[in-house]
Amino acid sequence: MGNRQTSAHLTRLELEALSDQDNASRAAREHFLQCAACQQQAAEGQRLERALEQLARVAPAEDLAERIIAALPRQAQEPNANPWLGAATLIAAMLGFALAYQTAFTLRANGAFELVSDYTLQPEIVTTYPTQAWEALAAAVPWMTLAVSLVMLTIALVLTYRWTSRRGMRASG
Amino acid sequence: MTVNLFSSVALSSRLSAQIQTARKRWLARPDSDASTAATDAELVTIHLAGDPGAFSELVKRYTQAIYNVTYRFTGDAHEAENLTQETFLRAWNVLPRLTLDKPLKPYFVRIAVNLCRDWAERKKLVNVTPLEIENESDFPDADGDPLRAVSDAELRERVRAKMALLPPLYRTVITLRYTEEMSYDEMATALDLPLNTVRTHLHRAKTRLRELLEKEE
Repeated sequence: MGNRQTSAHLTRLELEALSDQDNASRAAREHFLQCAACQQQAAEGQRLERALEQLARVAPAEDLAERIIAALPRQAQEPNANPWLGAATLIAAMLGFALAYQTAFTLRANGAFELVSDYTLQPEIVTTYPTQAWEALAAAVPWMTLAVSLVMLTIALVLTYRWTSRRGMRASG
Repeated sequence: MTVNLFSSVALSSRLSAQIQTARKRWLARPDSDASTAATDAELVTIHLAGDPGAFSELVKRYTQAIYNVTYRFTGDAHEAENLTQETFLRAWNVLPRLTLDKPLKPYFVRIAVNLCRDWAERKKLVNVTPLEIENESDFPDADGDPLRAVSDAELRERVRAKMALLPPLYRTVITLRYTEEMSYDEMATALDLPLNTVRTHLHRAKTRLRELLEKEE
């Protein structure tokens, strides 16, 4: 486009490029300014552009979107399609929290919180009699209940993660 | 195992936060105000979390555009409806693999165009691939341009009628550019073609259309 003869009329491609200043060569712009035929042709091109811009969208049937939605794969309409996984998550979480509550209750009944309070207020107890201090604290902790509670809560977390992942995987088909 | 568990939980909670944010925005939108509607990416995120309403929203958002493309290609309302439906079913499968930082429309259109091409092959349609335009750089003498005498309204009507005579690919590029108002970049994505090829196709489509309009005289 840069080596065009200024006397020759612009091609349609050059006329289109004129509307995008960066794509039009200087020679083409100079010719265009002086050539009534090319200006007329550009005006006609603009009319065609306007006619194309006014082409209407072809409207689909009003219920097409609804019919498409109704025909989507069943899983797409059922976000929580695996109720067992959800129920297992809920049971694990409930057991975990119940046992955590039981653990806290037992700790309080065994005086574990008081021991911790004493150790905090009088740290010399721990420094002077470390073995006895830790043994007393260990004896106040219901280890089995605490362990089962932590296991249940971990299971609930893992199941929650798997539940959300499976919903994503179902979406990928 | 512990590290995996913690990273899984962290990922899950991060995703959950994103989903909740997107869902709140989506639910809070006024129906009449499209400017506050959820973005495509937000709807995909919600969809992947299992909310069926999000994909339905995408279907409603793009049904008209996809139908417009398929109808312009096939020229048949029934086929266009089938291809539009098939487009969304396929889109549903590929959504998890899409990059969410770009608008979905070009991807949906790409699926639709590919389906249309397959449909044309099945139907053994001729003229799907456009013919080369001869003497495309020439134009008639300005004084002899037959379109000049035609009013704007008549020109619009003729353009609409002659569109049906164009090869499907030309109809498609014109539809994407002028009816769907897509950028060249979006068209390149939608047609799976290089940008310059899209420009060339559009130029040739308009040249061919002009030839058809002039022949009528």
